[in-house]
This record gives sequence, C-alpha cells and structure tokens, in this order.
Amino acid sequence: MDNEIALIELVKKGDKKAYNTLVLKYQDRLVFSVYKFLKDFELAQDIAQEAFIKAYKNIEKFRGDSQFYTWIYRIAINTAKNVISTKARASEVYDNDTTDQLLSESATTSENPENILQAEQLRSEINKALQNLPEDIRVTLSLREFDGLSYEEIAKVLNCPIGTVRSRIHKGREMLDQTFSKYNLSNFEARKYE
Amino acid sequence: MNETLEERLSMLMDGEVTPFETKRLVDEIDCNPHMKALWLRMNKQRAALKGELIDPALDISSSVMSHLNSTSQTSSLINTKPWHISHFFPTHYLKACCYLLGFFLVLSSPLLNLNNFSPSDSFSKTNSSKTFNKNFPLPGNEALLVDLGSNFNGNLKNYRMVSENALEANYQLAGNEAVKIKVFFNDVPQTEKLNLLESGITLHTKAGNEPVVLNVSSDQISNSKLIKISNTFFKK
Repeated sequence: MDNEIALIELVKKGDKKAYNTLVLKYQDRLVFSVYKFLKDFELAQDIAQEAFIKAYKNIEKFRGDSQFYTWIYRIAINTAKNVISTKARASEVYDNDTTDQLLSESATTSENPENILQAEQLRSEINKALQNLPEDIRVTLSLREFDGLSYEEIAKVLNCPIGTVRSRIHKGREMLDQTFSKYNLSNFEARKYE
Repeated sequence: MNETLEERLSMLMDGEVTPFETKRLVDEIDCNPHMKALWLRMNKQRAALKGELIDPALDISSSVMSHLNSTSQTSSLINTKPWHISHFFPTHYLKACCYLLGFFLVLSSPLLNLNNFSPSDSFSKTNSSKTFNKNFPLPGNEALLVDLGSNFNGNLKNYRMVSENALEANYQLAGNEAVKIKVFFNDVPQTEKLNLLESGITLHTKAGNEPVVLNVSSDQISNSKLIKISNTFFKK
C-alpha cells in the first residue's frame, strides 16, 4: 500500500493528477458498492462522483489509519443516506418509517440496463480467459488478485524470483486485456482526458 | 521503453513501486493517452475479476476533475515549486541574506583564496550570457540551482548548458560526494529517455508553472540516497 500513501501525499500537496489516478482506480468499485446499496445506477454514479469531490476537498482529514477506499466508501454511503433522507423530508411525511420505506423501495427496484448485463457477460468472459491462461501465470495472477498477496509473498509461495512474479502478473494482465478489448472498449482512448 | 512503462503500471496496480516512481507514473498517466487508457482498462479488468464491474464504459473521472478544476481556489495545499526558497522566507529577508553573503565573499576572497576555486574550462558560473548563444535559456537561475542544492545540503560547484533546453549542475555534498543534476526545461528528448531510466533518478516537477524534468545521478552514492535526495524536492 506504499504507493497509495505516496499518491495521497501527492494529493495533499495539491497534485490533481495523482487524484485522477485514484479516481480511475476506484471509480468502478465505488459505483458498484453504492449501486448495491441503492439499486439505482444513475444515482450511484452521481453519489460516487460527489463522494470523490468531497474526499478531495477533505483529503487533509484522511489520516491513513485505514485504506483510502474504506474512507471514501464511508463518505459515499453517508452521502447516499443523506440523499435518501432528503427525499424523505421532501415528501413532507414526518414518519420514522419513511426513510426505511424509501430504502426498501430503492432496494427492490430491479434496474438492469443493457450496460449492466454487458458487465455480467464481460465478467464471465474474463474469468473464462483467466482459467485459460498458462498455469504458472494463472496461479501467480490469482494469488495477487484473489488472495491479495504481495509480490514478495507470492515469490516465497511459488519459490521463484520476484522478477518472475512481476513479469507473470504483467503478462497475465496483458492476455486478459485482449479479452477486455474484444468488448469494443476502444472508446476509452477516444475520450477526452482533461 | 513503453513495455517497461506498462509493466511498471502493472506494479502500480499492486502497490509495488516506490513513492518516487509513483510520481513518475502519475505524470505518465496524465500526459500519455495510451497509458491512461491502459490504467483505466487494467482497473476495470480487476473490477471484472472481482465481480465489481457494473458498466465497462463507466468513467466519471472527467466529471470529477472538471468539477475540482472549476472550483479550485488558491490553496495552501498547492506548492508546485517545493524547492523554491521564497516560499519559506520573506523576500526582504532573502535580500538581506544575499547582501550579507556577497559582502562576506568579497571580503574573504583573498583570505580564503577563492580565486583558485575557479570553474573548469568547460563550465562557467559567470558571464553566461557572453559565452552562450543568446538563443539558449540564460542560466540567470544560478540562485535557483543554489536553492535546489540547499534541499539536500549540496554546494553548487559548477553548471553548464548541455543543449538548448537542458543544463547540467554539479554539486558537492558534505562528505565530498558528488551529485549531478540535469534539468530539462522541456520534455526529455527521446534519445535521453532510455538513458535516464537506467541512470540515476528522474522526476517530473515544475519551475513556476513550467514543467521541468530533473535527473539526479552520482557515481559515488547509492540509489537509495539518491532517492532520498529526490524526495527532498517534494517534501516542502
């Protein structure tokens, strides 16, 4: 997690590029988490965006005693709860159960836009591609992605040099990227990165 | 070189790069659309593996950064010239120190025999405007180089322009160890990139609002000490 601390330190010094790197890293996970809470995809995006903005403005308050994602997740969930509470107040029904009711209603809304279905299909394809990787690469990448081991720990487990771990992980990601790219995601490069 | 950068990006995903390298990769992600797209895809790939991907095309980063840029204020957080001494001392104090230092040097030069400490033929500290093509950026920033050295207690020995947009400065540390800093006022020339990656520590920072690339190297001190020196440019 050292480079995350380094990223946060850069952000605290006003380096917005470092913050953009963090946003790109965590946006999918955060939107997914908020979506699970609210079951509203559009609202989840708005709340995640607001959470990132709030987090940047309050970055000095991040002490590093938890992971950055844990911190921003709390911000996002609190923001989501505030949105729900605001809706309850707007309805002018001062009922203790209103917030719970709204939460319940949003949780039962089953929105499955096409892009969400595409994501499920992509997840399935990526996992298939992972199973089809050469064994040494698959094992190394799995230890990293699913077990969260560091390169050094993986090297000890597999009894190989750290350089080998590094190159296998990189190679595995390159091979999975071929599957990812098949889903015509070249629009990422076409977006204007400001 | 791109393959090496992509592998380092993969290492950044896993927190396996140094803080210094983090800064370099952040700059690369910001200015290289290919690297930015790759960073985005790699993180989406991870999210897909963990079942946390909800929309492959999702990207709220532009909206977030656009909002932050439009509402940014002059903040005490921002210090794009971390190694500029005027951030820490008032101007009148600096002026007084400069006058005192100059007065001391003038008085003491006969005693300290400072005339023997003259630059080598290929280097020059004075009359730069007379010896260099006027199209070269004039090193009237000698004070800047001295200030740069103050971050790591390095005494500026000499400097020279090595090209139109680059200069090279040599410093001496307390233990007589030598440190060389190359300053590139524009992007690093393509021919230099491979060398710089393997030789010394390269970092991207700013002089005022202009981006500069610094390369810190030494034949005498270890890479870990070079990294510590590099970090001093970002601490303040």
